[in-house]
Amino acid sequence: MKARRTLAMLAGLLALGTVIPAAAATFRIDDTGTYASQPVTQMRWRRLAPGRAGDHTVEGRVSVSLRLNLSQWLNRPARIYMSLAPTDGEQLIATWRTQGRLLPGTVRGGGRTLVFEGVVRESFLQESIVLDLTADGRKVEHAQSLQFFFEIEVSP
Amino acid sequence: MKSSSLPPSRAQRALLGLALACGTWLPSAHGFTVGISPGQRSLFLQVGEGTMSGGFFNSGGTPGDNPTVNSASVTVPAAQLGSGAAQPMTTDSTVTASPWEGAAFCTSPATTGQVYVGGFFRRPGVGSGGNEALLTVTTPTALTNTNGDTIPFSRIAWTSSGIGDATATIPSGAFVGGTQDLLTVSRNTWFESCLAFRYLNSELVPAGTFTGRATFTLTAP
Repeated sequence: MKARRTLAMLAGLLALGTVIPAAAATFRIDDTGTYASQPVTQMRWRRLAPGRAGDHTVEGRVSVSLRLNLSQWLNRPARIYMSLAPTDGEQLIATWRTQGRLLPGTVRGGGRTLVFEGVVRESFLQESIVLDLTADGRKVEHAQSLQFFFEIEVSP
Repeated sequence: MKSSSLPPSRAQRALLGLALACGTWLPSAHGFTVGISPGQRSLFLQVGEGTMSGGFFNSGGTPGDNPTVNSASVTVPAAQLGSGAAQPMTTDSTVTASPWEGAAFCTSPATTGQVYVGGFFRRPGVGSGGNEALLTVTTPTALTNTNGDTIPFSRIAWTSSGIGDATATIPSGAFVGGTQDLLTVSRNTWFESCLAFRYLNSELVPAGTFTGRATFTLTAP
């Protein structure tokens, strides 16, 4: 009887499919081979003149070819997040479009956004994204480097 | 089965060494970097006629150089000479619209003599220093006629206004015959006003046409 109950519980867990338990482990993903189309993106004022409304937004665009090494988690349910490390004194916002292998989204400095949820089906996930960066131009006084990285959550 | 506790064989040590060496040669990356640079500095001043292409500033238009030097003038009736009754000046400027979005900002120059003056100062950052640009105007000491007679430039004053402005951005005033400050322009701000000039007509002067040029300058640190 006890064995039957255990089997039933196991079947129930399997039926959950890609649901990741709350105690999932998180790992940084090796993205060796990922590269941006240009080393430095010139941020441009959205409005050349500040005008009466005082629009001080600066924006820039860069394409990034992603190559995520998921070989450690092959055939396992997982969630993948794209993260942006805290930026230098300014809440920069990054918004991206994808080719469909990852989800489009938005992230602020210090945050992360879900870009994949499901079973990992391939060792290397390759995707091209277009990153649109916006910030308050009054607060972006110096050149800086934005650090993006990917995290994966899988069940233990 | 305690093979894991046995010391590694020579071959295993060699493999381990090779793996470590490979790790050194081909380090894995765990993130990518996007470099960004700040927005560019810019300065814009329009006095009277200006040139915009591609629309107005708020619709992506860009300004061009406009070499036009507009005039403000008045003919004082003989009966009014030196009476102290200020004589409003007219202008050949036809600008009523703000280059920001094209809305009417000055009242018909043909009837009011208003001359549009506007601009902005763009600079990224909020750090100390370099926060303010300065709008100045420079005039000679006097207007002159062909005989060498003079009228002090300080006999010309202006009233500043703008449609929708409760208080004019550029203060009203009078020329001083030299360089004078008109307005401190904060970093990343827009300014504009319409200046209606008048001749103060406070003294008798010889006959003739008296001319002089006022040059407006916007200076950024």
